[in-house]
Amino acid sequence: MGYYLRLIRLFIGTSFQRETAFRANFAISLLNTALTLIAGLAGVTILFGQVKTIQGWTFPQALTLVGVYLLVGALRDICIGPSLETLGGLGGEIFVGGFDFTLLKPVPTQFLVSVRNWRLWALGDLTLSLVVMGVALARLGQALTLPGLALFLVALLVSMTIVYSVLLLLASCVFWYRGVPLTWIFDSLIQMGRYPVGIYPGWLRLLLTWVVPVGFITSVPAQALTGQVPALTLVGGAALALGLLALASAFLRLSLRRYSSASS
Amino acid sequence: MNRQRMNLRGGWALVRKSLFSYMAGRGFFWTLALGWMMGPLVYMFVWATAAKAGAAGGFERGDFVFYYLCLILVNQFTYPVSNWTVGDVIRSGSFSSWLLRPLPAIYEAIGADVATKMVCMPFSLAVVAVLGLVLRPSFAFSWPAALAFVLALLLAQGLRFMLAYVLALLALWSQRADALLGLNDTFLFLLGGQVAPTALLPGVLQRVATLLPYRYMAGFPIEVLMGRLTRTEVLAGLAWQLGWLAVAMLLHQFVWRRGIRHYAAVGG
Repeated sequence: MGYYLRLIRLFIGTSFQRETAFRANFAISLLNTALTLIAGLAGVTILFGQVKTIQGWTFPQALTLVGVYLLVGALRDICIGPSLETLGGLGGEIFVGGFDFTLLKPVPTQFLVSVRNWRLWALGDLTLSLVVMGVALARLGQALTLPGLALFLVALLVSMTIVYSVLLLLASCVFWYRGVPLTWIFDSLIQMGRYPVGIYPGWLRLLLTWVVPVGFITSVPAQALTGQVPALTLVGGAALALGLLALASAFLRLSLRRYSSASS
Repeated sequence: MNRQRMNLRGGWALVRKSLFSYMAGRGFFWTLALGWMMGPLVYMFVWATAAKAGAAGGFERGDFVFYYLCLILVNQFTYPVSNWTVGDVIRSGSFSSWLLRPLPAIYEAIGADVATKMVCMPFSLAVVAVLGLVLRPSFAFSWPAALAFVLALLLAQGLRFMLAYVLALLALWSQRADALLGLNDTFLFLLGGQVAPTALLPGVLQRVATLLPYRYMAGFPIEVLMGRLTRTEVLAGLAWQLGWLAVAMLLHQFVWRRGIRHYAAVGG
């Protein structure tokens, strides 16, 4: 265990050195964050300028959801996103052919491909999302209780496990099919999580809860934070997350067996 | 005259060149198209649900569905793909080969733009047709509105392309022109009728939206098609489109002349 933690620290260190070499990127990353934030806030504000509630969600609750959406995005961008992008993204190792070296390293391959790249600029996004959530909670007039916080953290853990598993599944597909980085499709669908899953029509809601579990990724943590999530939903989400994690790990192992180097 | 015809033939050759290579990778482009339609889709569901609680700004549920289904297509039709690629081409240095062609460099960008749209459009049309059957949009058709729509759509496409191209050309000076394109996209999202039809924007934003070019790149043609504007408003909108297009073309002249002298190829 200590060995793995030391490795992670090393990965963070090298990523930090690499990123600070391009300092202008920090300003641009901040600008992009600000733009995402403005777009998200404007969407909710304009909507609630026209209606009082939407599917039982009030303005502060929807604002919490915006915060959670940004938080999930930031957490993903810190490590999972960039790491798996190196594996299966456009110009990633499978496309370019550097994967042989990754496979030869004396650590479990899944560990290595999941944590080797860190994007520390995303910490700015993280801070901003926490601010949005704080403002939303203040407007709700709700004190954050310890059990409430614990519930939120559990929901967030479930959410991030699902994000990781789905991304790993889709990134592994690159061993079978090299036309498109399939993670892009997930990036498109997760945008649906900006708003409560309840607003979508029945068939789409089912799809967004069980097939592409956007509901568990953003709606449920936001509900946990505002103290209105049934325990059963969380248990169901946890079961789904563990199932997906097992499936994704198994699929990666299966895909690795298919791998036969990039060069001829 | 002769030169004109030469340019057209060369331009079409460039379209075909890009088209064939893109067709081979159509899965890739359809994934891109899926991403582009996601924004309008989300806001369609949001507003359709909101309209059930009471019509917002004179829009009923079916109106929102129609508006956003159109937006998917209009957005696909006007989306300036080349705004991202031109910057990359300049940075990587392969821009030099554009300059060596016996055609103005803008033809390369136009060719790639047209080809991408030809590859993506069938996919978007299919998705919109299925959604249209499932979600029951409401719509009243009239010939004058449809004709004005076609005109407004073409102008919107020209305007959106030119502005994005000019911004992308700024990469001739700065390695970081992409940030400006991101800003451009955000304005388009807020004021172009994506986050909400511009008629639903709160007071100040609505006034700003009628002045800036963004509404005329996406939302305006759909408003025309839905017959929600008076004849004076339609004419005024078309005039704004022409005006902004002229501004974008002048900017292009200026940026191109200055930028090309600044450009020095990279690599060998």
